Amino acid sequence: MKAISVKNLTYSYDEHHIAIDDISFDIMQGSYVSIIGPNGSGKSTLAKLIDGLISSNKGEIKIFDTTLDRKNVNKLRQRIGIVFQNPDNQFISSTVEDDIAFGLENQNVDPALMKDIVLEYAKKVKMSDYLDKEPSNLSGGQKQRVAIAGVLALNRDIIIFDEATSMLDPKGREDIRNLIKQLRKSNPNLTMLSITHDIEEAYLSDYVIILNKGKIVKQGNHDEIFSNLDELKSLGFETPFFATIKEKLQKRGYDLKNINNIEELINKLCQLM
Amino acid sequence: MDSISFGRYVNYDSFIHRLDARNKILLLIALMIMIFMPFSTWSTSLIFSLLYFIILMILMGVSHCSFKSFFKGILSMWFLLLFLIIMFIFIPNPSLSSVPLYTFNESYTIYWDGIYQAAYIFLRLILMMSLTLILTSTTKPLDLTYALEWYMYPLNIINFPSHTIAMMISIALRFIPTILDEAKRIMKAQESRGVDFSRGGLFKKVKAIISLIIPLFVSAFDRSQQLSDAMEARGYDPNSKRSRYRKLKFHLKDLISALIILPIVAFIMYLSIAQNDLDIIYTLFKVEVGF
Amino acid sequence: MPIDVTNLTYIYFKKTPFQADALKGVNFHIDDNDFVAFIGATGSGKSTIIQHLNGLLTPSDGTVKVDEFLLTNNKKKNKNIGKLRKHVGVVFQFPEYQLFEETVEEDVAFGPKNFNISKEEALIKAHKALLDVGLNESYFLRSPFELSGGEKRRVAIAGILALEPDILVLDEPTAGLDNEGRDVIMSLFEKIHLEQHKTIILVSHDMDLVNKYAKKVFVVDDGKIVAYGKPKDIFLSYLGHGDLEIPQIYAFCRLLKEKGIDLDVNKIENIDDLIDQIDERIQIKNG
Repeated sequence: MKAISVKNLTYSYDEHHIAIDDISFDIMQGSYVSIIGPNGSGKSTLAKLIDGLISSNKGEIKIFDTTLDRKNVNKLRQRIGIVFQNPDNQFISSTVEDDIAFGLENQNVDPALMKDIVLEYAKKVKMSDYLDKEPSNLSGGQKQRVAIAGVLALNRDIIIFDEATSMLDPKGREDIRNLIKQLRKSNPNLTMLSITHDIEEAYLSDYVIILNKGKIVKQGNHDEIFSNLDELKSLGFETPFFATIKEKLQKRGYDLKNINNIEELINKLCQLM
Repeated sequence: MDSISFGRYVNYDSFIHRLDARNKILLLIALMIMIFMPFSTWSTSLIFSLLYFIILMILMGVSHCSFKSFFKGILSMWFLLLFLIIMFIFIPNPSLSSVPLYTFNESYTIYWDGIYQAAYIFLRLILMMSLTLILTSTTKPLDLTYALEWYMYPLNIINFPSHTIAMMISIALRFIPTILDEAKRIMKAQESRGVDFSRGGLFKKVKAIISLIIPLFVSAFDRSQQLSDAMEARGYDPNSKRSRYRKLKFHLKDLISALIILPIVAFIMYLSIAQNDLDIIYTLFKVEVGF
Repeated sequence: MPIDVTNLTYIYFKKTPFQADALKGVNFHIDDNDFVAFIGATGSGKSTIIQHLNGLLTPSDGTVKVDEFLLTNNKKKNKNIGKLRKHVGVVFQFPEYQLFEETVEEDVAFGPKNFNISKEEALIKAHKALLDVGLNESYFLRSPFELSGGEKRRVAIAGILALEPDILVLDEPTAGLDNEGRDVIMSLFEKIHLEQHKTIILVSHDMDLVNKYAKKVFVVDDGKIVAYGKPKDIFLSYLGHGDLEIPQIYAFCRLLKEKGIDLDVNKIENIDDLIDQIDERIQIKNG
């Protein structure tokens, strides 16, 4: 089933500046898709369009086969959660637990049940030791984890990560990547859409859409994108570290077909050496 | 730096911390009224105020308030103190019953009443400060907001947006530290560009402040846009029914504390209003002070 | 301008319940015309150190000496701070948030004007700085608020460059930028370093950047400098213990080392060297 289907989508802020230019793609339920592109390529605009925070000039967006329009935007939005870029500006309440509960309060969840739900999702993002902490005492990565818990607690079908790691330090970034990996295992039906310029994060996804100046330059599944590193480079991207090493070793004649991550590669090399 | 620590919530588990925020607001207002109830003579008022002072100091101790930051707070009001002294001591008191303390040059008299009055008003100010300090340092800001919203609830009948106002207060409380940090950061950045926030003529000072205020506003607008996106994305709608994660609970200890404090306040109000000529020193010691 | 920092100690919120030691006796020396980097985890004290270099913070103890400027815990004696700030330019993280003037050129000229330089001269310096950061005449009269994020950052950097500082301090200059923006900014600083012979002090979490550009690295941990040296030497010395973020190639070597495979890391400069060694090892084993 298609979770998100975008057809001929166009959006411009003003006459001169077309942010999204005739874009089409499909995202299947349960998949993890990355949209990559340089700053100003239109990635964030796309995220806002999908969540109905802004509405398009042309084309259509379908969320689970329902076309997004002004009337049903509030209903459809209940199937989508967004984790935004700036960790501070999406921390709404004064403490971790209150912030995770914020969305639940909006859904009028029974207060008697809320405490358990908050604790469950705080545990899921490894923030259960920080329930009464205020945002000023948390790192950027921790705040983003709280935001993710807040979205997960709402049981949304789709999560959009809108540059969620771009303001974090490497440690915070790695924490979020690990959390995404873990979510893929624990929530197989959850559709994740990550808008990012971190190529290492994009490497985790099963489908990649490359955006530049509002247009799709290339899209394809993980192997199609990352088996041709030269092309990725020519489009102005760094190549993921693991993919680079793997490709170079393969060129020397090593069979690494079933090696999919760095741990497996290290183990394989240990056997060989 | 010191101003940040004054009145900030301090996480302890005292009796007062555990009281319901609504109850604490109610008692705070009652005690404030009590503090402001006047008595017929300055001496009686002063004695009552001293009594309140001792009680509040004990309450501050019980609730782990920082005495240090309290006294620093008082010291920072030195200007006000000076003003009061000048106001009440040196401005002639026309009341006939006033007792002269000292007369300069046969023409200018300082009265005991002026000194009483200055001391009394200053003491009342300190009492107000310590009351507020007890409230804010034992109550989470969020609980305070909820309590305020609860009190504003009846106003909904006249379409008063009590929820919106409470949400505004809680977001303001949440973002004050963030924006203070931001302001410090921008100040440092502008100082690195040669701005001096402490010295310079009027024109330079105005320019310095502009270089702080504009970036602060730009980023605050950015923040508010992003925050409203984030709230909307998590399904916030001010007009629909929301449940509450944090429940304010009225416990037995709230009832007991209210049952102790409210009658005392009522009694003192009665003394103040009905016993207009109460002179505590006269009543207790049968001594006439004041010749 | 050489920098000498001796026994620098800094205590946040001194004499309050929130008192915390940010720096605990920091010593270092930076030569004239050097390119150094301070690295370490968030909250280790890197930012606190660099804020002492232009007198934004006053030492609680110890001294900071930049050329003839001396900063001590005696605030009254640190009179020359104003002048020092002309010589040490600090570019803060996300500097685009300090823009406030109506036009790009005026914003860049704001710094020089604060140092009593005439308006005309300040504008000349501003134009030069803007061209240095790759923004041509067409930007001069635009509003800084209508530019893209990357352009705003370049304007903010020009605002510091226009002061013509001898020492340029950069706090996470590439944070939040994409790949291309990062390269543009960093090659700009390298050019300034090489052509104008300015000392560059970089604070960054991006170890690949540090490895590529810095000549010397100071590792800050818990308010102290725990190691310093050439980037590669530092990263290699941290192969054995995993508490410092290191460039990806060395992190890979670190993982291999944990499994008991010791590569000749001194000979590894890039991915190809790494591949060569792995290949060689496997060939030897297979005879």
